[in-house]
Amino acid sequence: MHLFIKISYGCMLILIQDNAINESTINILASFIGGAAAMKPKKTSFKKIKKRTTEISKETLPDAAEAISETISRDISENKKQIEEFFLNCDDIDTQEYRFGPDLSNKALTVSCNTLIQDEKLNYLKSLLQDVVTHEVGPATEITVEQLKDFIFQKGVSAQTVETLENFEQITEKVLQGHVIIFFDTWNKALSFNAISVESRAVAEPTSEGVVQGPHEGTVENLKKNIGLLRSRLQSRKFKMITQHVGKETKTEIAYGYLEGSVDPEVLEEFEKRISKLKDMDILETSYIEELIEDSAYSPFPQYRHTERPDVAVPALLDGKIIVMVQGTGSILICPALYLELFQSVEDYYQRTIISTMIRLMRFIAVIISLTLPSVYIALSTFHPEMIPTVLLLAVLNTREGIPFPALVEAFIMVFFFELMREAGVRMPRPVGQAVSIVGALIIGEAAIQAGIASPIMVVVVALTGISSFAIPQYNLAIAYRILQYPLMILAATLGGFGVMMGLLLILLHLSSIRSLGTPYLAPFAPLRLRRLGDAFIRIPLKNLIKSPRNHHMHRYPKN
Amino acid sequence: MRRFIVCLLTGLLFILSGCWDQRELIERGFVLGAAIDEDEDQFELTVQFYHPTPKEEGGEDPFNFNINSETISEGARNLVNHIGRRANWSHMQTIIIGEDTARTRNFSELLDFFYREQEPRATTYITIGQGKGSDYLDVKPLFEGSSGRQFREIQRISKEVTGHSMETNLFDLALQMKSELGTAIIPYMTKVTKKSETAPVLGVAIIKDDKMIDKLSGTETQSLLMLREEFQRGNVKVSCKNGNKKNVDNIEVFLLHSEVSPKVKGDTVAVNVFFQIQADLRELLCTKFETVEVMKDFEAYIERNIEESLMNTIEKLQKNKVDAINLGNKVYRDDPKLWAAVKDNWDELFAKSQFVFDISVEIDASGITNPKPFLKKAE
Repeated sequence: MHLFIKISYGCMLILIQDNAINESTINILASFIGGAAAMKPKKTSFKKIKKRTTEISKETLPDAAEAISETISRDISENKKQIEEFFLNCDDIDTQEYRFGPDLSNKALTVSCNTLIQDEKLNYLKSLLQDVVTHEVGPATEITVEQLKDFIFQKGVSAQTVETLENFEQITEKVLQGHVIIFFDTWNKALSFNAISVESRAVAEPTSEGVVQGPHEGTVENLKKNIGLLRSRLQSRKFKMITQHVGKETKTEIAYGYLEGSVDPEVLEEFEKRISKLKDMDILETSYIEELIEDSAYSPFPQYRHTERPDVAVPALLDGKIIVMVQGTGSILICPALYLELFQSVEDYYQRTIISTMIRLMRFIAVIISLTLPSVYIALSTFHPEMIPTVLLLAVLNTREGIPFPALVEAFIMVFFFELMREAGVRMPRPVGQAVSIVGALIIGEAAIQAGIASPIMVVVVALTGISSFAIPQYNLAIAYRILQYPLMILAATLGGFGVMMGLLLILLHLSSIRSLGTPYLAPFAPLRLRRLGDAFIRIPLKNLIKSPRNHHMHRYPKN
Repeated sequence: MRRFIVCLLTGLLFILSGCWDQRELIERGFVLGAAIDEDEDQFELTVQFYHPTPKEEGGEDPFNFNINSETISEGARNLVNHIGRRANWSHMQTIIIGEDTARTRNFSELLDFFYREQEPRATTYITIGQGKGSDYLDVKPLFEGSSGRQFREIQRISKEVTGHSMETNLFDLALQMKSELGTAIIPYMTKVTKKSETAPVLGVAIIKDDKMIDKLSGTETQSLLMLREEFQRGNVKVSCKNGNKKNVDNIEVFLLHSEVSPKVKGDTVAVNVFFQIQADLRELLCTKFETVEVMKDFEAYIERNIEESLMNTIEKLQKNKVDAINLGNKVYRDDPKLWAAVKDNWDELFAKSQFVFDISVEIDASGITNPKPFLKKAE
């Protein structure tokens, strides 16, 4: 086995060297054979092509910010021209000219993005004019732009909230945020009304985090709605919510919130430092932020928690966590996350303490199974058959007889089948997914055994591993464990039980070295915090668990 | 560079200290039982291998393979030449030694391989079989998949339920052989053919000075185990008090408390035997318990019966001058200096030792009916 590994490693090295030689020799040859011009572009390496495209893009694309600094002209037709130039080929931008006032002599122009204000039937110009009519002048026929200006400057009460805009940069920004912009002739300012109305999903139970007992509300893709869901549960002025737009092109609205007094100021400071670096990043999902601000990017273990349940986010806030939300996605990022919290489900707190404790312990067992079962099977069957109870061993022997593969290969095949089936089941359209699961179950359950590819005991091992990993509430942690089982299997097949132990120790070392926003990942265990173990493997009754503030272990100052 | 060296060394550390006995299950042959016999000058080592069968065809019986060699270890190694799989001894259930071999050859010679090799477990059971040991491996198992495992289960259960035999594995045997006395008892197996061939484990063989010297029957073993304070429970027959030879009363006795203490005084050894026994009525054919007096009488009668059978066994042992009761070890444990003085002469002392019995039997239960012969019409 070792010899095999060494040989294959050696082959790889040789291959790599071969590649290098090929590329360089071809380059040299190409430069010598200048006449063969047709050959030359074919042989240019990928790197060069890449370089060229980036150069081109730099030259041709105009600086966007420079173009949109022009101020608003007093001439309305000039402004219209300008707008049409900016939104060239953006067919969903509507411009509409109106006339009003004495003899319809005053001109006005409204600009809006019709895809962002689908539901809006209201004419903002009309409603504004009506407001002015009732407050300042008599009949609508006598209204002038000057009167309008006065009205706006004096913050007259209007049916709609109105903003005045100074330049075209602001205008394009607002138009794309779903505002209606109104220009008036002879006035170098524009008025903007917020009119955004994009279809959004109704609040429903999140499919990935179901509970038997407890609220069935989940977040939607609308940031405002989501914040509302949180605010309605946490009616405290200490709950701070800071929103900002990031991204050069997307201008995504992101929001982060925390509960003042609960959050650890050092953690918050670190978080704000990291999030301030996201200004120019085009963020489309909360997981982008997760990856951009996390400590160890190459670790398989998730260092932040995701949820789509407001009733998960709110207790997290009470515990002093920071939450991050992004417009356009329902996923809430909770940071920092501790390893232990990834095993907790919100329903643990809704069920009776004994039930939750049993379920939690079961999850820990499930984790151990999902991580180690295949490797333990390999180690026992190839190195330590004396450790298998005799009767079981004889049963295993019967099933193993006639399987052509070593235990490792057999395990790899079956685990790979399983992963394949799982991935296919997730990605396929739902009607086809059914077929996938039927075929997959047949292949793994029956046909593989019948065909003599795998033994029934291996199927049991793989199935148990898969099921156990699904018992972990956090999907990405389950995947982390399923990935880690591969190196453990290799270690088991090469070094036996010793190898498995080494692998587990390395994982433990890694886990204890991870930090999530500066907090140690294995927090209640390492460093050991005895008081917080009440909510670790077990869940003590809420009577003893919940104290206000919930994270008072973090408050170091004296209590008087 | 430094990082590379660290990585390399770590990798080497892994590889150099790992387990190197990697072998797939289908490359191993699992030994379920072994029998050792003498074949003229050589040993005949018979090994029972498990025969794995794919799919559910009921499974084939394990097969026995024998090989002759000068030493056991040689035979065990040379097996591979014949069977084509590496023998794995870790799941061996029983070692059976033929009686003739056990009487003539030294145990240390027979079993050294099994103690020294890393694969066989110390929990492998050991038995002595009447006649040839390898014959027993051929006995068709009744419940278990292999005769090797069947004998192991018989040993375990018969000690627990009938007290007719002992449970001895390699570790127990080593403890006994290496004790001060150096005598050991090993379950003794015979072959019975009625409708089918079975091999009951009944009685024990007594080992002294590295060789088997005597054997005890099942009932004698019950007495021996009582005296060794290892008895748990067992059936005892009690003949009818009124002299009726046809019928017997059957009781099951439990040894609740026991104390066997040898006292050495000069050249004499006095052994005080104190037993507290609970008796349950199992079969009642002649005695009727109508008054407390009758019961007391019967208890005394059982006491006498037990004392008698204990004496029979003791006399047999004293005749052979073998202290299978472990008295010598008890003397050593109480007073090592005294033991050093009497050690050389112990066999003689044991042969002349006096036993004083104090047995109290208490009838505890009569099953689920009253303590009278059940089907007999009341008089």
